[in-house]
Amino acid sequence: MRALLVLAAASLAATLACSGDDPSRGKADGAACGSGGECQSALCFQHVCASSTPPSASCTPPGTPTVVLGAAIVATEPPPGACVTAVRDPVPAAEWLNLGDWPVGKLLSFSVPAGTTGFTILSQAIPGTAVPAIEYGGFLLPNSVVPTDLKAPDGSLFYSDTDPYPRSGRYDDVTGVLAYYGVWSPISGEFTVPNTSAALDLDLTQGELPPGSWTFTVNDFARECLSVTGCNGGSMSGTYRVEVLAQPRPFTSTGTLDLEVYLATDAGGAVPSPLPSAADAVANPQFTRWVNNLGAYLAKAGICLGTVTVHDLPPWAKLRYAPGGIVDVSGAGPAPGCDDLSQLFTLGIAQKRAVHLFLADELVDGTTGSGLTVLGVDGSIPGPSGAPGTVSGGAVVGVFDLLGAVATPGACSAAGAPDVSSCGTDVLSLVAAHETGHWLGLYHTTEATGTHFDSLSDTETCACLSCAPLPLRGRCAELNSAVTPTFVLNGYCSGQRPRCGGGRNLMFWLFDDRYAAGEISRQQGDVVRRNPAVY
Amino acid sequence: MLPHLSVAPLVAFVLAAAPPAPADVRAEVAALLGVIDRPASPESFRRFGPDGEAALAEIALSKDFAPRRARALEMLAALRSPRAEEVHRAVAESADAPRTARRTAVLGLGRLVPPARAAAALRPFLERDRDPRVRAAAAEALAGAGPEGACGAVRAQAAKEDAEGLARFRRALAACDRPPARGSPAR
Repeated sequence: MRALLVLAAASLAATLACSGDDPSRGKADGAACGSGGECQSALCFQHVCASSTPPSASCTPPGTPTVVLGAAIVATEPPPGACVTAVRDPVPAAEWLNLGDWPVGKLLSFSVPAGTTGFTILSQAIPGTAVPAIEYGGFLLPNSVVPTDLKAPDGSLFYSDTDPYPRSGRYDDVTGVLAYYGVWSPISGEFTVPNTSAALDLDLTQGELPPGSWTFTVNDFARECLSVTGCNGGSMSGTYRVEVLAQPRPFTSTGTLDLEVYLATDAGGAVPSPLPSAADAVANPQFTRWVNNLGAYLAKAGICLGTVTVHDLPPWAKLRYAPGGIVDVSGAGPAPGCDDLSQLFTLGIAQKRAVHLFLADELVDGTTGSGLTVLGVDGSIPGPSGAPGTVSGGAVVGVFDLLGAVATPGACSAAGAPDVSSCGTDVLSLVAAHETGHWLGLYHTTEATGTHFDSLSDTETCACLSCAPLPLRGRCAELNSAVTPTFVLNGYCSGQRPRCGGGRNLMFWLFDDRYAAGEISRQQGDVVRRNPAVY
Repeated sequence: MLPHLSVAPLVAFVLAAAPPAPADVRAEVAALLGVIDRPASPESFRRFGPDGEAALAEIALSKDFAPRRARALEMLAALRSPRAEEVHRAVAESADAPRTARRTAVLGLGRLVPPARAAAALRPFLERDRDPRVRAAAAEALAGAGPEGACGAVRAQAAKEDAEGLARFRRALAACDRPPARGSPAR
């Protein structure tokens, strides 16, 4: 990375030094600052140390979510075997800048107006142009679309998809890079800035991203493959419609999020789903509890859950992609984007810049025999806010008989904070909040093996070699990737050892009701509120 | 649900037949069953040995929430625990188990019961269970287990289902439509 990154990394190091061990060393609120690292609060906002950004006038969390019955989704069934990968028009169209259809390798530019605090680059493959996959190291990888060589107006490099990540000891450290893109996104991908500590600090300190003309190169894995030794299937054939959303918008500590819910549940049979139809859902008190407690979790990020609109899907779609209310989330299909889950997501076409969340009775990973249970899945990180109906345009949560299920009588009728130990509805709220967090740009604070961490410096990490019980450390992935590794559990990561945290965070990889508190850090809140779905 | 079966005593019997899992093992096993965005990994449970299998059996037979019970069953089946079949049978036949757990138990029976006994174990669920998703799970398990004549039974039941029921049988019918492996009995 270039000078900008070096500066940002230095700022981040200062942030860690000041905020982590001895906050009294930093400047008090109200003092002038050049980065968050100078402030006791670790937040430098418009060159002044502050404890938070100003609240939005739109709401005070948690707000009061409104559940409404939405229009049933109308769509024509594609022919058998057909795969829907149509380019979708973003909404509202007038706010997006359409840069046109361009092949990979094309250098494009867009203007960031003064006062812009975040932007999004949406890339959608023109059907039939991009190869579906490449082969590298003996594995087939989906041909993901991701812009590269993103440069700020001063020419400094903001993001490269091919540069190695900085290392901190044994681990990649992506908190200091200016943008991070950690998922596969074939056919359709949304790249949103800011989503790292370094970018947030730059953005918050200035009160805006650098205004002016930014540039980037249209890119996918197949293009990158051409210059990687041992990679097969490289191609320059991919052509993408590229659109950008970059509008002036103030930094605020609160914001409102709307939710579009689609029911992929089984309405028939002698034992119907607890949510057989949108009308039933809207009238179901446990569905209302689910919404309210989803709102309670999102409120920890400063978000007010606004309007929750519930839609029925076409009967043919449920039979085709969710037979019996069961969705195979493995991604297995004739080509990337053509699996049941991706095709189900193409029906999330409510014309709203929102999170599009599907509910099914059960989710299974069908690649393993009869399938293994999965609680929730996101189509991409972040989700394509503002581009409804793409193959990655949804998150899905399994209901699994949890709605209204109680471990303690009366647990799901009690008021107060969510009770994930005793009320199944509240477990569903937490899983939905976790998937919503992914949609809005959050990664797991610590991944299963305790060797990969998110891009935010104020979320606690939980490294296997430091946090797993001593007898299990010999199997940590840091030491030996050939054995079944030790996984880090919430209990190893809840503060019993120094620098072993995150087990109570909403975005921990594992749900354990003894620890799950749905915690969200300030920077996590800053990222999700920059997502275009939040207003 | 199979209406003629009284199951609570069966669950109690299965639970009483083995020593309880140590509390710390049970807690860690329960935690590992809470993975959110992907399936649980059977390999991650092997390190617990028989205590882990006891914990999985307890969770599967408990009143815990449905997805954790379902995953406990999946892990018991994947680990080929000696108690897996009896635990699966108890949950499958349980009148008060959540549908998700019963469906998973029926699917798991297809992996655990030898082909010679698969038809006897699964056809009652295929033909008489009142929950269409359990019938579909039995069809899938039977088609996968591959005893002779299994696909005939699956197709016969599919013909009795309505359009939605037929969709639920999709995976089973697809398995039956695949050519059998060389040397395997006609399904």
